[in-house]
Amino acid sequence: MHTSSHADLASMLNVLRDPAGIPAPPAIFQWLMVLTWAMHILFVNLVLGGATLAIASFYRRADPLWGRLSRAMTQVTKIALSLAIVLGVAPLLFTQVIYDPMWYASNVLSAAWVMGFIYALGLGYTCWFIFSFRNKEGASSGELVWAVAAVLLFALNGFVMHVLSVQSILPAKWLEWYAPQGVPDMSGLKVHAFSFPRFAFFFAAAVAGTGIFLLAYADYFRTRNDFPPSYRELCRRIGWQWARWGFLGQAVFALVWFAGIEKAGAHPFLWVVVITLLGSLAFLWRRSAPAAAGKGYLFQGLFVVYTLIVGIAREEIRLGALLPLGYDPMTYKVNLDLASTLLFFTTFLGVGGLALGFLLAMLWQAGRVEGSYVAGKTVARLSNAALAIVLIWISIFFAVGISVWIRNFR
Amino acid sequence: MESLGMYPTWYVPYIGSGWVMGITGTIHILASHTSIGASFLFALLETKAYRENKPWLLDYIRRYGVFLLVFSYIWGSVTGPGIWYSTTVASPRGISGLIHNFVWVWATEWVFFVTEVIGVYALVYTIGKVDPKTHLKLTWLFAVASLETLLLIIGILSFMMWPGGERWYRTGSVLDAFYNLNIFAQMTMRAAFMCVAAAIVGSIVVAGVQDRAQRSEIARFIAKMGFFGLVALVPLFYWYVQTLPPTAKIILAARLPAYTPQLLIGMLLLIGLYLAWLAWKPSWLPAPVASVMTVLLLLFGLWPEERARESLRKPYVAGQYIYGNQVISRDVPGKGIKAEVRAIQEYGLLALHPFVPADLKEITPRNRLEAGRMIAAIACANCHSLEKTGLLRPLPAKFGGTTDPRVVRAFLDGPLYTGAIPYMPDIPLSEKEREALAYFIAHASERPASLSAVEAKPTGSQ
Repeated sequence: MHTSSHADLASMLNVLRDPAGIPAPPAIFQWLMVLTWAMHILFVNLVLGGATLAIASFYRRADPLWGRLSRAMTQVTKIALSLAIVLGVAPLLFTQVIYDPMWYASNVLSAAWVMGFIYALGLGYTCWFIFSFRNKEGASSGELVWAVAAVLLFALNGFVMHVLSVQSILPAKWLEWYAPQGVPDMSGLKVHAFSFPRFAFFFAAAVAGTGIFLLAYADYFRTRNDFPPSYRELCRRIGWQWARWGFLGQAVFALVWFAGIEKAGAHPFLWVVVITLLGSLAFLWRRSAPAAAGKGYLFQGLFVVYTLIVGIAREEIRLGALLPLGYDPMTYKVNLDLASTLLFFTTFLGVGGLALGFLLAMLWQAGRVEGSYVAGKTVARLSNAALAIVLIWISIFFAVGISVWIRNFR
Repeated sequence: MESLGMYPTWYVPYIGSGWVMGITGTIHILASHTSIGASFLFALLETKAYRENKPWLLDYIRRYGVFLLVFSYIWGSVTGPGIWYSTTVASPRGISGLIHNFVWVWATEWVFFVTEVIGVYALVYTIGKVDPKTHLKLTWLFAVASLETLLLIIGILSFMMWPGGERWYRTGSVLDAFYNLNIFAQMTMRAAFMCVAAAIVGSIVVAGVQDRAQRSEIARFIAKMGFFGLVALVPLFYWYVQTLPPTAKIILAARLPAYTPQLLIGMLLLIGLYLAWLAWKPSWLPAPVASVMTVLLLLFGLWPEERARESLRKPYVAGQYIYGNQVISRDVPGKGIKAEVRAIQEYGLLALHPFVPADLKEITPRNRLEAGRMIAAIACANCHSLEKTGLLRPLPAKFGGTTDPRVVRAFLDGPLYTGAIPYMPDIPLSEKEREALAYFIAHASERPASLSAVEAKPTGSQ
């Protein structure tokens, strides 16, 4: 605000909170937000990095191994995109629960971009699907138009999300952005904040994440004869290179990004990110790709943990910006609602555990088999349990619903 | 009261932000409803394939599944969050109210949504790869998980219409909000519509089946499903209307475009004829005809239905406690929510709005036009275009295009101030604010151009 003090700003931020309060302690939402954001960004990495690799290897498709890699990464990107979107819903939801003032104000200030994000995502997704249908053996160079258009649109989406995140933690500037010289601009056509190192950090993460994925990918298909060692070696070699350069980029951009953050040294997880990156770089540069053979899952697991640490560091940065302004998400009004809290956690554990467990176990096993796959006892039991749990869920839904409805309306 | 928890305003000339929400929502509804209907079609067809040993049915499922990935899982899954984004920028307090009441319901829906997305890929890409029994269970799991996303979202959508009684306002309980009066009627009505949507969209894929006998068998199967939905729609719609709030019934009777009933009945008849044709002569079904039917369903079935549903909620956007213009209209003791209307009456809307520039908080003859413009954008633009040629109930036209501020004032001082019109919010603006708003509306009636052409002068210090 041009003239307002921190006290005014704190008062405004807290007034903007939803008067309905939240149905469980804020720390639960904060942890779920960080956890689901990490899951989401892992697949965003694969979309950006996988699409770029699909294009790069398409150029060398005269070599059958590269052509195969291009087609594989095209399919990986397609599925990763679906998962990135669906997993992105959860952090979007939880952000709005405890950081609603920041999220809504930032979005409305650049509303046209927000809507552009949705339609650019749909168009990019469509373009990538078209590319996935056309990237076959013998595909012509013209097909790249779809892929390049898609990647540019995905990059635009990354830009919009980045801008919204940065704007959201700069509340002192909102009114100046909304009404420069006292004249409100309701068009939502402008973006107001951009941090290049932060933006580039996540693109470098896409390179590193895709590299690490390739190491696990090469290991996963070692049981299949139709994935020859030469192809898996190529994947491992490229994965190693991408991991090296991706981590290097992340380390450089992280240092520049963190250096611009006030009191960055006081945030422990920023240190953990930097130390992890430097440690990874030392390891990757001292060893070579063959060292990754058989360790792909380990590297993938460590990368998941590292991404979670980045998520926590990102949350530290947000808190570091907002706490001094008087906004503390932990003081959000709680109107405890046990019924809906129980609904989520039992579904998350029950359905998430059994239904997703069945799907993932079946897909994992089927993918490792050449030709047709017959489910073993464990997967067959899981499939029965998955069906049982969703049917039990529906029975409870209607039993509770009808009793509440009759009590309230009859 | 020092200020209200209101956000900046996003204004889209001519169509208003409401239409942006409407367009995004309509695309989503067609894509998502088709997907859920199709999931049950898949499950039933695959059961038939399994029992009657007709593996060629799986080929149709695979082709419809790939079509669905593009049709529903690109645009459906993008416009789903798209509705959130559009409501975030058009009606932030409305979506915030829903999210803060129903966060766990939405999070639960997300679990099923993840299952559904992984399920559809698994279903499509493992046909012929996984043993038939396991695949059949996978398909049923996909169908039930898809249905569960519907069950959960309907509780929220129907609460947007109204809780149906006073209990939720007292308890604040999610169960009382979710299992509202409208939920089961809306749920079953939408389930019936899903059968229709899945049949019509599925007919596009049927048109591509080359074998005549196979094409006939599939076409008749999906036509039956479509008919079942179509026949069920009529009584369910009647039940749905019975569960609407009294204000909605007034709007339904008097405020919707006069052609709405004829349009909807015409669409029902057209769909009935189309399904009959599909069952009777499936060999005469070119893919373009099936595609045109899908577009007609979108433009003349869903779009007016969505516009009507949005209108029926007026003047509220959620739970009959948040007005379309983002003001909280009543106390909700169960949540500790306080009404804001009286504060506006006492202190003025501009004075309480945290995003109104300091120079506009005090209205003077010099900033009157800008202040009026600001009030109109905050208090009216959620439901009205501010240009006289706008498409969303244009405000100047609502006053007959008058250029006399006194005519406008009479309305602002009377029915609007006292909240006497059932489908309009109660907006008791201060004396100076009513004067400024009347001045702006009269001025907008004079202007042939857009709102942006209403010159916005830097106000400076007074």
